[in-house]
Amino acid sequence: MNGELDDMETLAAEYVLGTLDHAQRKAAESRLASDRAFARLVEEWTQRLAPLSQIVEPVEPPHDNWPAIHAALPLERRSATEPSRTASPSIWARLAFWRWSTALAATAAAALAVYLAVIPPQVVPETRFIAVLEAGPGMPAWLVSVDIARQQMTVRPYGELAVADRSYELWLIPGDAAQPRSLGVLSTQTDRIVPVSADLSTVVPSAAAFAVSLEPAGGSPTGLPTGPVLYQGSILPVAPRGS
Amino acid sequence: MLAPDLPEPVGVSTRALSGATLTQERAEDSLEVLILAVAEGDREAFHSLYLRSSAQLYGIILRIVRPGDRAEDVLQEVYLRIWNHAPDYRPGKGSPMAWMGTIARNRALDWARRRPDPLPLENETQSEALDDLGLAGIDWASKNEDYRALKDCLIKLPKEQRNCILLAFVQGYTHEEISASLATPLGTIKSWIRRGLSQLKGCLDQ
Repeated sequence: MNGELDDMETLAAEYVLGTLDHAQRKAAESRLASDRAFARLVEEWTQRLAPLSQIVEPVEPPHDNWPAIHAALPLERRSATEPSRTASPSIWARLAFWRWSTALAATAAAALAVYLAVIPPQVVPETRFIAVLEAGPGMPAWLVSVDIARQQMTVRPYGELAVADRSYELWLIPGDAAQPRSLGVLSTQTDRIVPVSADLSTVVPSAAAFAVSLEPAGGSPTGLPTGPVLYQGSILPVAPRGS
Repeated sequence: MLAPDLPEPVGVSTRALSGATLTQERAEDSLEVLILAVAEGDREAFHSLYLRSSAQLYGIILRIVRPGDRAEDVLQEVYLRIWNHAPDYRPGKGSPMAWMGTIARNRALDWARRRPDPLPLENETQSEALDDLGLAGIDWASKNEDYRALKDCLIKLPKEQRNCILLAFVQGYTHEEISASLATPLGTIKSWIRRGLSQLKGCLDQ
């Protein structure tokens, strides 16, 4: 049988459940900011109970609230240091085309040709790109963000990725059917920062995809992928200001 | 009907990169990718996210805010929060809709709790009607794995405990409001909820 919840956990669970009154809620929220054990309990209870919100039937809002929401968005992301750029085709417009068209580098190269034919040339060169590397639909495992102006890319792991005695290695899949290019071994625990050389910065915008393969510890001994390619994702320009 | 036969979720092997597994897209998938794009500041992805999720979030908000609160104002606040917090979203920690639903509930609860005096509750909320609120008439098959696990544990709770938890979570009721609505002493309500939560944890963490 289950033990009783202690007072702290009861408070955390009831905060998530929503039974606290205004003063109790505010007190719980300030505790969240200062008490890590409490914050962890709130997070655990959020994960337990949050799926329940699916129980509620959807209701279309009576008005289109998008114009008001869009107008209220800050001009830039909080952390953005980029100078503003003109509108570019949205990541999502491209994603629909791109998403599953990169199963293999050869496929990707063919897709790129079509892609270049249907998307008008850019007025402003792209300087930021992302790629969501997935094991399959809806199974994102790594987020690659490339910032060419700042000459670096960040590879962020999601979820449980650790494997014993093997290494994950990141590859750039060029769009011209050239060989994959190693970008180094990844950490499954922390963001990996990869410098973007001048040479690389010219390759990324036209490359098709990033991929991650499973290699012997320390990385591929041959300079090319030797293990299975477990994750991949196409490279998408970021459009910070939608049209 | 509480537990119809549920279809197995579509499984995708982590090693599978064949075309067959890559072409099947489910509703939740795109939301995840959209939030990651929003985290990078993509406004068109954000618009898509709004179009895909606003009815669900508006439904959550409507249940919780009180008459007189402008649910659409709350909805707008919720989307600004989603925009601001998208960089904190982690795909491993729950579904995109659960993450957005939590933001919506929290904002709606803030609004509902701002009133110093609870508004009188509608009398229509009788305990007999509560299972309709929670567990009947739901298309279980359309829900995701997390949800089904929670449902399986909820239906094991004694009915009065389950009703309290659903009233709190879905309607945003306080202990006092649940007590009034079920015509049951406050101490009993608190005890039901506490025991219900404890049992739910034991069941979910198995």
